[in-house]
Amino acid sequence: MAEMKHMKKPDRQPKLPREPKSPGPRTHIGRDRAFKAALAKEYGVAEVPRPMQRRIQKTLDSLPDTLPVRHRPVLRTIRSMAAAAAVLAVTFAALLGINTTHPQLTEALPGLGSVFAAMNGSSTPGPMPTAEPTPRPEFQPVTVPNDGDFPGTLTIEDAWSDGRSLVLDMSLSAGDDLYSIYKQLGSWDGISLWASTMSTGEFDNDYEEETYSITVYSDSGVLQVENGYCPAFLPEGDGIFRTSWYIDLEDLEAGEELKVDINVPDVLSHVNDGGPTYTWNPEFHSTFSLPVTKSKNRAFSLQASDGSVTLSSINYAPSKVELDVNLPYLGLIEEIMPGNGELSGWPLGFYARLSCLGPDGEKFVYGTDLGSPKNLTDTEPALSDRVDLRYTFTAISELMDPRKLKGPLVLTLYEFPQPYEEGLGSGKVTAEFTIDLGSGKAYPSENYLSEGYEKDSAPKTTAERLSDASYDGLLLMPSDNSLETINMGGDPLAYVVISAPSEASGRELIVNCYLEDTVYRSLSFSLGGNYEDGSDSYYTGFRYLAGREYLETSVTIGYPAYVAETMGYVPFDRIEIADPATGKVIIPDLGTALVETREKLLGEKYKEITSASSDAESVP
Amino acid sequence: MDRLVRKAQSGDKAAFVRLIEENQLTMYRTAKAILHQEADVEDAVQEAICRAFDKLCTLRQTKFFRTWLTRIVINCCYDILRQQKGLYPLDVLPEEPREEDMDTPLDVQQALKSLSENDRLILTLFYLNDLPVKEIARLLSITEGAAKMRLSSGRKRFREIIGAREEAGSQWQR
Repeated sequence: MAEMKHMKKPDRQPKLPREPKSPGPRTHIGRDRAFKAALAKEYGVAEVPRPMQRRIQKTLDSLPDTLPVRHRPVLRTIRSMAAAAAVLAVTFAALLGINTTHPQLTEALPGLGSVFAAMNGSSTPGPMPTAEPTPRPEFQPVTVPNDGDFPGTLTIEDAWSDGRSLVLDMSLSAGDDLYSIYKQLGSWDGISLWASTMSTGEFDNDYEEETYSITVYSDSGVLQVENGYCPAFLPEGDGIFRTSWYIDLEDLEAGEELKVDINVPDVLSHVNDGGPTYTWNPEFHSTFSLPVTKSKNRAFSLQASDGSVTLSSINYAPSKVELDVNLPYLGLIEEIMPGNGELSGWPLGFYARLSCLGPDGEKFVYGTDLGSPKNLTDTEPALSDRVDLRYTFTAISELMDPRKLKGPLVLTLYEFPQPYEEGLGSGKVTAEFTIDLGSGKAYPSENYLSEGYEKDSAPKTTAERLSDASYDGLLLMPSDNSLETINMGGDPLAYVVISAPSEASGRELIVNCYLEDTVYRSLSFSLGGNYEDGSDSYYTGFRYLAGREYLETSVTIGYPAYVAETMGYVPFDRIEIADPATGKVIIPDLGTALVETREKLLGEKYKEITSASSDAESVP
Repeated sequence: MDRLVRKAQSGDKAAFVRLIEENQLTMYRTAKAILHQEADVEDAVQEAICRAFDKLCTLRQTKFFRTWLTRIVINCCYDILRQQKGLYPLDVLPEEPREEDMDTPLDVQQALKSLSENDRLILTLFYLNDLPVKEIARLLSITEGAAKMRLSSGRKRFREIIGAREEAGSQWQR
């Protein structure tokens, strides 16, 4: 989790790349995992060298004791407003007390008198304050004048805010230049328009630079938008290009007036990936106003439980949903799936997906681009402690207006992170809730069954999973190993990473490589040791897994020359690990053990890949 | 990580130290993709840490910390290159000479040398540093489409080169 502190890691931390979803054909660099290993090895960057680690530590030690802090005027304004609001609240509470004993005094107060009169049921009630101002007319599209050379127009079709986001739906119409491109291509597909231009870098290299700017003025302050979600204008057909831009806001009040100032000085078009680039300088500029409308927003306290998980509350806005959940801490994804990038900070057992129905009845899945859930308990939990997490989801979509989404909401918590496509994920479901925004109720549900998932109401901690997956204390971490590199059928013959608790340092092991039940190659090694001799080597790094220090010994075994000369380069039938002193076999077949480990640690079942299937590239 | 970034932005040095420790491999890999000499890599990473320390308060969206830090490392690397070699367009930066490899045919060695710096950096950012395409595009100031294309072609080139070396029968290089 982003908010959870990690256990302190040691200086040495080799991080080998992550495991692909399923094994592929046996080639040297046929799949992501093998490709990453090859890349890291080729570049010599499998781990941070000790001299670099020492230099980093020395640099950190030399820095001042505190970092520079920047005070934010908007935040300061909000804080002072919050202080003022607190004073008003205290004053009103005091008046309530006076109203009980001397109502005639409070009813005579200017401004507030009618409020107390209505409370007291007096004969001269004044108008009650309304929760929302008189409804405003819908946003009127704004056509933005073109002061430059762009042969078309920009239109702000719609602009709205639910207090959590500002959404701008815009369109660009094509002019003569774009029509001539269209005629060459025969289609509008492949053309995209961006609010950017080409600039020249300090090395005389051309690069694309976003040049738009958006400023939002509100009662709370001024927001200069940076890093908003401002994607390209995409063709809709007939020369019209559309986009939806989302700007994150602090939680603004209903009825607050927003003034938006938008500048789009440049437009750039791409024609297919790698195609020609065209630029214009239209100098689009517009200022318009809109109210914050929270009529669809909802906030409820919920106390629904499914197994070990309790759904505490929901704060719903069309563009963003927050859910507070109480659950047992089982560890982090990265402790059994290291190097998983953005997913590393997610809690194991509780990867969340939120869905509802779109306007046409199709399923809409909310985005998790705001990252892993936030720990509200503000302490570092131990395994199995209860923690309060806040999950935040966004409804950013280029294809649909989030205000048209229909309930109920379905929150599903998975054992492991899930791909976007349904039904392709691994592992089980740990909890699911259906939330009715109309009634403010939530209850456990089982929609996951129709997607082929099973339920696991008692998921295990990272420490328990690692223990279950070990072979007499030895682990084959899926993040470090793959079927292709364990038994390469070439030179080297095998590459395997054995993990074990640090206490196992010094333990002697032997790798035996079999062809037709005969050992053609063996290599003895010592856990925690380092060695290199020709094509044989092993070296050791360290990492923390589930709060415990582990060593990782990477073993490379060269292909036997006499086999190469007689049989050529072939995959061996079986590679085992044994105790050299007693002959006891610890892992009879490394390939089989890795498949079993993947299932125990990651819930993934091995699928046979035919020779016709292509590599599962994660890059399209 | 978001929480650590916010704590560091409020002045907490321990949080900053944790952030650097958790990202030191990312920083090292990025610098090594541009500069090949270890001494230069160490200098770049050290400078990047100092700059990040001074400028962390300017980072608005904490979720982009890793991308922001990577950008600082890249800028520090460019500064070192500029000091050493004068201005060079990124795509014609000379490769550092590899250690003599007597078992790899000269034409394969040449092919490895020709793997452009752009390929190495973008492959490092995506495959080794696990940055998503969208952030890589933002980092390198290119479109997502261009980033994807360069990743595909860079990976293809890398595989061809290593495949050629395998066929040449040389030993796997560490």
